[in-house]
Amino acid sequence: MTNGRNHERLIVLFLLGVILLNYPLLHLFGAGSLWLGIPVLYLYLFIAWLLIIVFLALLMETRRSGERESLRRERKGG
Amino acid sequence: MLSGWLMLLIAFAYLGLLFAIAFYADMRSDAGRSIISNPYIYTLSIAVYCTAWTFYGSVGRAAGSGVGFLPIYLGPTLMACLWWFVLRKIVRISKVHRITSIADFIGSRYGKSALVGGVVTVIAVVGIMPYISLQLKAIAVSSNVLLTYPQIADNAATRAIYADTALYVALALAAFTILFGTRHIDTTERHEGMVAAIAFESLIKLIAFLTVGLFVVFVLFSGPGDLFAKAATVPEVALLFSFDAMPGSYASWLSLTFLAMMAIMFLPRQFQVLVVENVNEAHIRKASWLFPLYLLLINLFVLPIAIAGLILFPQGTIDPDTFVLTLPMTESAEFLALFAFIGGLSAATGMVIVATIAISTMVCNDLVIPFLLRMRLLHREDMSGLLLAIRRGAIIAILLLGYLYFQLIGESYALVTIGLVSFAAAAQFAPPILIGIYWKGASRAGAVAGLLGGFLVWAYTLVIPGFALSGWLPQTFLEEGLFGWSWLRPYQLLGLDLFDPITHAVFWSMLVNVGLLVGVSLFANQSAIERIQATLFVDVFRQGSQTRDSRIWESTSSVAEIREILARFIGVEQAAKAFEEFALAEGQSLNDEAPAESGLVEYAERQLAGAIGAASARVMMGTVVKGEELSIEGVMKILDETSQVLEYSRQLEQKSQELEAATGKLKAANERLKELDRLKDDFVSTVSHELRTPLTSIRAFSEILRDSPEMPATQRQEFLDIIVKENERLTRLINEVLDLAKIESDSVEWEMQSTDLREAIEEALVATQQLVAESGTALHKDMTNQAVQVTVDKDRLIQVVINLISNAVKFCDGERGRIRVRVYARNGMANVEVSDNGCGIAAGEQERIFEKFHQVSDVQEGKPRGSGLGLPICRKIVEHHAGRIWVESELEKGSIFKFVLPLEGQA
Repeated sequence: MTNGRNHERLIVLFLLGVILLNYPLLHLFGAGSLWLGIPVLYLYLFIAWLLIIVFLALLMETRRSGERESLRRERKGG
Repeated sequence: MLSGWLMLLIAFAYLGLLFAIAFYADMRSDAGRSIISNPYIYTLSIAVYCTAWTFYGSVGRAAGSGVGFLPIYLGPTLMACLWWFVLRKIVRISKVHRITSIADFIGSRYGKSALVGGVVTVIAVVGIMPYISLQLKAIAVSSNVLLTYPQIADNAATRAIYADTALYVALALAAFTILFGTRHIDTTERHEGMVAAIAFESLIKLIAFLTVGLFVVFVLFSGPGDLFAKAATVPEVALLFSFDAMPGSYASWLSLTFLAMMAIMFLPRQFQVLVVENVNEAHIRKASWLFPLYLLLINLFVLPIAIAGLILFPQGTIDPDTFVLTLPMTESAEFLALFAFIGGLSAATGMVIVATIAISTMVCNDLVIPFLLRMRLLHREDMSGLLLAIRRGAIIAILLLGYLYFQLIGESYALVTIGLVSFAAAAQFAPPILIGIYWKGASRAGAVAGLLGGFLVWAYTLVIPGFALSGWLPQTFLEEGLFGWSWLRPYQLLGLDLFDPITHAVFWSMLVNVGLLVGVSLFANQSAIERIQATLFVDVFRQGSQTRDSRIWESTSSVAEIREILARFIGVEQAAKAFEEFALAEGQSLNDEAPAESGLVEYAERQLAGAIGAASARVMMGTVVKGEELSIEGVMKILDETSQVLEYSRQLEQKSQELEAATGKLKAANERLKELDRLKDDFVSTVSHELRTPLTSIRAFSEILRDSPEMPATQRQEFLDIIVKENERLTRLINEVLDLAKIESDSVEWEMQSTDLREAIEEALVATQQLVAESGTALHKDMTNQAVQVTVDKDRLIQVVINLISNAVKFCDGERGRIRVRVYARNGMANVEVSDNGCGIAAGEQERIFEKFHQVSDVQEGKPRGSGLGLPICRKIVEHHAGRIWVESELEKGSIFKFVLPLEGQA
């Protein structure tokens, strides 16, 4: 995986987050009904939030092997 | 029962613990074994974002607006997606330029401007005041709530007492912050101890809030299902499940998200922990997702707690901002309440400590010191004492101002709204930073105009109405606008009445801020240092990371001047060439009169460094460009000597190179001579050998004739014939040797004349007629009937043809021999072919027969048939006429000797 591709993915994730967490998608869940005993709006927001965090973690922790190598060297050097 | 003194004791014990942690971290840091240098501590320190506002205020906001508290935490999550680009860039810039605060950053970006730094500091101080007052209010309220335990204080009761508490809290926090943040002056402005304490506090407040949340959901209610089911039965509470509870609806949601995105980066305290206290850029990677996770966890129980409070308490009796404390009290869980109080205290003190340290640094570095410098009030003595005093004074002043704001305004807003006012102020820093690190054109004038414009709009639409709401200004100001002009109503500027106050203020202030920044920048002229700084900031990743010196050239020199300096050391032509290359690479033309921009100055310095060493180049450029104490002439003089030495050494090097080249040539010549010598030796020995053979036979036959007088006449005749023949052969050989020697030494006089090649061939044929007839070979000629005109030495050419024919005769088998002489013109060349049907020449021999003394030995007789010089002579002659000679042959089939000469007019 190249660094450039990862950058693109991060930007897309940001845009996806903006869309997921705003009007009009929020409107779909904003009626105030319950699902499994929990307000749907509340559930939706937290699940969307968690998904963004999970993808963010995946993108951030997946590194190129070369990058990891240089990091290790840096640590050794430091 | 919680008595006042016990609570006080616990609070101070907790602060004492924080101080111990800070002290330990500082100690470890001094010993070079930092405990904060890992992404987890970094993440926790960023969580200073969650203040008392989060701890108490979120619940209050949730109680009024349902999910309306969430944008404040979703915004940072979205921003975290971009941290790897934006935050990393800011951190890199700050490390390279040794940035100590957000004011320093913005000021440095816009040409190291004290004005910009000062404006930012003022905005930060004014903007952060509500926020600090909010923390004071939170601590005061929470401690009073706890003090009235076991009665659960209602709104009226708390309001009466906590005013005074807030003052004590402010003073206590000031003392604590002074102890924390200003123990000594650090050149890097990093506070490891503070970061460690903040991280610890973040952990405590998270655990405290989660504990309260679990208690509420699983002890007061039997799980979330139960809680929400009960809530659904109360219509007002059930309303919180839907988006309709959100005041300002989607526009407000969007604007809050935007505000939070900006606040997480540009609140002074966030900038402090994110950028200034950052130990390692790589920590951003983990913090990017761990910090949003922290936010998610701390918000998980906000809505449940709010709903529980609304269900359990009679409507309006208890301030929802205190639910976190009051809900545990309903079950007499006093230690849980106390733990919640500690959590809230953590949240509040963390924010106050970092914010006041950050702001006191800004006030000191960007406001007071520049002022003192300008007033020439500073003497160059030890300044650390003065700096510490300024900072301590600033801390006390900030906290007291916070208290004052709280006293004046505090009542008119809920916690969350106060916080948002500060957020909107911090958002004013976003345009100059974000635009500034990606657009080189953003100018100082634009930044000042944008900041001031945005700040004024912010104050007019958010702060001044606060005074009106609190009764310090007439209410008519809100309803009818300034001077009664309705288009100046602070909540409906120009009649825009679509939004709630915060969204309204964000829209107008951002519009003005960005509009002025971009608009003014497009028309303002940037000074040289602005351009330099802009380039350094925008292109920070293109520069060699942190090893680069961050010193900036205040370039007042013109392009021509810089070139002149360069020319002085690397030569006029080289300098001109270097500048051309730079212009080409940058895609711009260089105007001699224009001031040299930073890229060019640096480029010139690099070029100079190649000639006189990096250190000298730096001094040189620094002096020329900056024009400080050392005069240009002085440095020039020093460096002229260097340049002379350099020139000598360059000349020396050149000479030695020339010598080397000459040596090489000599060597080659020597080799050639040796080769020639060897060739000569070979030649001599071969010639002697060739001469000896006929001489030996002449001598032998002569002796026989002398010693045998009675020999029969016929035999005598035969012997004499042999002697004559051998003599002829000897003569021919000597002639050939002389010929060849002459040709090789170029001492032959060539009599070039225009000749018809056919005539020359005819003559040669006549000359060899006898020879051919004797051998019995059949000769056939095949000549073109057009003239083949060439410019040649005719006699020499005839010699060539004779040679070839006699060779052919020699190798033909008598009666069966067939020789064909062919002449024709083709492609501007005259072609002559002499073919025979003799024994042929092996492929390997075909080239060597043109070498001197190389003889094709007759396999049957083992005796050479020629001198071995005929063909080399032929080749020399043909080559002299710019022609070519070669043989095509096949064993037992015959050979074709061919030569070509350029036709007249073609050579």
